[in-house]
Amino acid sequence: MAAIPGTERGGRLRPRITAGANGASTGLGRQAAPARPLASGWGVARKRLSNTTIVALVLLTIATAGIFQVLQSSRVAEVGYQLRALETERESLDANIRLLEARIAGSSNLEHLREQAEGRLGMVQPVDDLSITVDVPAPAVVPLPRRYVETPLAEAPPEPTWWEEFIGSLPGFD
Amino acid sequence: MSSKRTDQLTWRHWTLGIVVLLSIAAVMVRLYEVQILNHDDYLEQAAVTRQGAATLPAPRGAILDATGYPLATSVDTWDVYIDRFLWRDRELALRAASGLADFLDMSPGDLFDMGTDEDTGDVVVVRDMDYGRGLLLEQLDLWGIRLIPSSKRVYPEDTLAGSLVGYVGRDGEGLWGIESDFDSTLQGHDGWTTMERDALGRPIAFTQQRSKDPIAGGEVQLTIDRFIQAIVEETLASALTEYNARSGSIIVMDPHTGEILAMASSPSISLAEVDLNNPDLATLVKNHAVTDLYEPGSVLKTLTTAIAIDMGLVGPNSSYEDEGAVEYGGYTIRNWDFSAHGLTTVREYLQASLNTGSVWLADMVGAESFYGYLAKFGLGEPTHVGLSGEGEGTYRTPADPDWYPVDLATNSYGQGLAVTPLQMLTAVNSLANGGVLMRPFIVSKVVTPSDVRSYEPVEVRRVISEEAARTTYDLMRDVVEGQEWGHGAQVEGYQVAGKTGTTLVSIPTGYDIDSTIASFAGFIPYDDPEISVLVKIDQPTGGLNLGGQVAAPVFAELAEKVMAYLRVPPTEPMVTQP
Repeated sequence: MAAIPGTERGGRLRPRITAGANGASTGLGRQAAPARPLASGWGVARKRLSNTTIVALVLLTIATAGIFQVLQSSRVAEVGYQLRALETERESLDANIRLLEARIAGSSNLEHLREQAEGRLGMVQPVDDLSITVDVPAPAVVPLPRRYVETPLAEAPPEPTWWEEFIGSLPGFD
Repeated sequence: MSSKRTDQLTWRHWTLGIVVLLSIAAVMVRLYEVQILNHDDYLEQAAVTRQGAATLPAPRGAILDATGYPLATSVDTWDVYIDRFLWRDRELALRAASGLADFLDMSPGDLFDMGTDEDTGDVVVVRDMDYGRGLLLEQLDLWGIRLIPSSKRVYPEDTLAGSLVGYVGRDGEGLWGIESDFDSTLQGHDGWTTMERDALGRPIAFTQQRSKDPIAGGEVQLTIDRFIQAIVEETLASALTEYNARSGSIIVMDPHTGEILAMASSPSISLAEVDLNNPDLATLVKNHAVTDLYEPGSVLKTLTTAIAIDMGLVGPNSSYEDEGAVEYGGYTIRNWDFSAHGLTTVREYLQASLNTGSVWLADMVGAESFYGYLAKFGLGEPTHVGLSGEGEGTYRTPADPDWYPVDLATNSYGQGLAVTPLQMLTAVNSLANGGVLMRPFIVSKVVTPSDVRSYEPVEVRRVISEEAARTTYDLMRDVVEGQEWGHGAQVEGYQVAGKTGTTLVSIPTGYDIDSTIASFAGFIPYDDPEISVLVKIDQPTGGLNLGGQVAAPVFAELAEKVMAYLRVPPTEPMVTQP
């Protein structure tokens, strides 16, 4: 004999779902309860979300927070490594600066200068220093090279008046 | 239809469950042991593992000349070490040794032996590797090879002023010269840092970190001008060769301020080739211009003359009868040329450098005043120039039990007392600057990260009146420019004021009549002296051995070049264009 639909072990009956006049479910064919407006907000969500879903959401939130924290730590560490790399680069640059300064000083070494002057440029030590006294009076105005003399700015020509412009625009008068 | 119940646990289930439970229990026990019982130990081990410490070396300060040129500076280098603990892994060690050998052009076998002879500790492979080359080695990331930052001292003018600038030893401490005297300023203070490191040994930012920044060493700027120093050293070397002299010293100063523009002694050490095992090192590194005592001879007659003039006892034209010799304190004092000049003025006595004249003046001055003035001139005490090993100088006074009256006579012409070249020139400078004793100084500025200290000229005391100084200075000009037969110290185009000195070298039994110390102290140009110079040539043996023959020409050669360098125009017309 087939089991009665809706029955379980122990013969406990489960209510059979039937649709009421307004589509609302009723149980055991009982008369449908009067329609009530649907509740809104958390109440609805809470009623609609199962415990499993809630747990899953909480776990997801925790996981997301954890990921963010890991990302943040990772980012901090990465920035830290970049900082360290920059510091190392700065130290390296400082070291190179000191090295270059020493090389420049070495290139200005008097012995090096002498070798360059005598060897490469063919210069010789002066035999005598000769000072000549020129027995003429100095000029009243000492002429300077032109580039040292400030030249006054040339005055800009005056703007033409409106009628000068008009006449100038006529053919034959430009 | 089956009758077996599927909901009953079998022995297999129980066995599996017991095994799992036991495993979990074992893990729990181990966790308890590690995290609870041995928590502190593991925490400490972890801290040791992840904590790193590093020394932050402080760069040593530079020594600059008056123009700002670095006479001594430091560059960054690396010291390469093998970590023997890591090289206990022989396979990795072999690979690292091979890579390092290729890089260093060394034998891999030698490197391997070096790094594996013991199981712990570091062994240095290369010291002072160039910075750039060290970075390349670092990039190779060889197993167990560590590069420790270091620095190397560099002397760009390594043939110049070796005993003055000094040298730094392997431990980073100055051994002599300015490097030693100003070591605490130049050295700086190393810093340190502790930080947490990741598995690759890289510092982790924003973790527990403590550090102390290194404090860089200060810079010391000298009054020495390297160009003048080079002129002086070249001239001195040339003079020692020309006159076949044993040694010598030359000092160039600004007589108005006391600045030392150049100071050279020979023989000396070259910083280009320092051999710390040289048995003569102690002699080579001495700054003889500051440490050695000598009898100044007739140069001191300028002070004797100045004392007598300052006391109002004589003027330039005051005279005495020179008979070529004088009896004093039971001894006979003769002129250096054994000549007698008859009626001789103060000017003439100084020009001819007559011993009898200085004895005459000293007798008038009296012993008490004479030695009192010598002390005011700074003789017998250090000048406090700031260089180590400075000699004090010495002379006997009437208060000393072994002073005799004849000492007054001999001291008056610069014998029987000992001074350093720096003391002598410092004293004579007062005759050119209006009678004030200026403290000589060789450091003009010290710049540290926290402050800048500038050293200004210091007037020690007024020794004689301005008028007396001027009068004596004019007499010194007449010594050089007033000689009808010329003078070895004359410089064409300029007027020079100065005085020669020739002394016998003192030996335990008296004096060696075949050995002299030839000296000259002078100023140029006379009108407004830019420089004062003391030339001291020890034991010239080339046939010429007097101050006027040896030291005076050295002064002239040197002074001409320095005037050209300083662009001091001649005060005398040399060629006139009509």
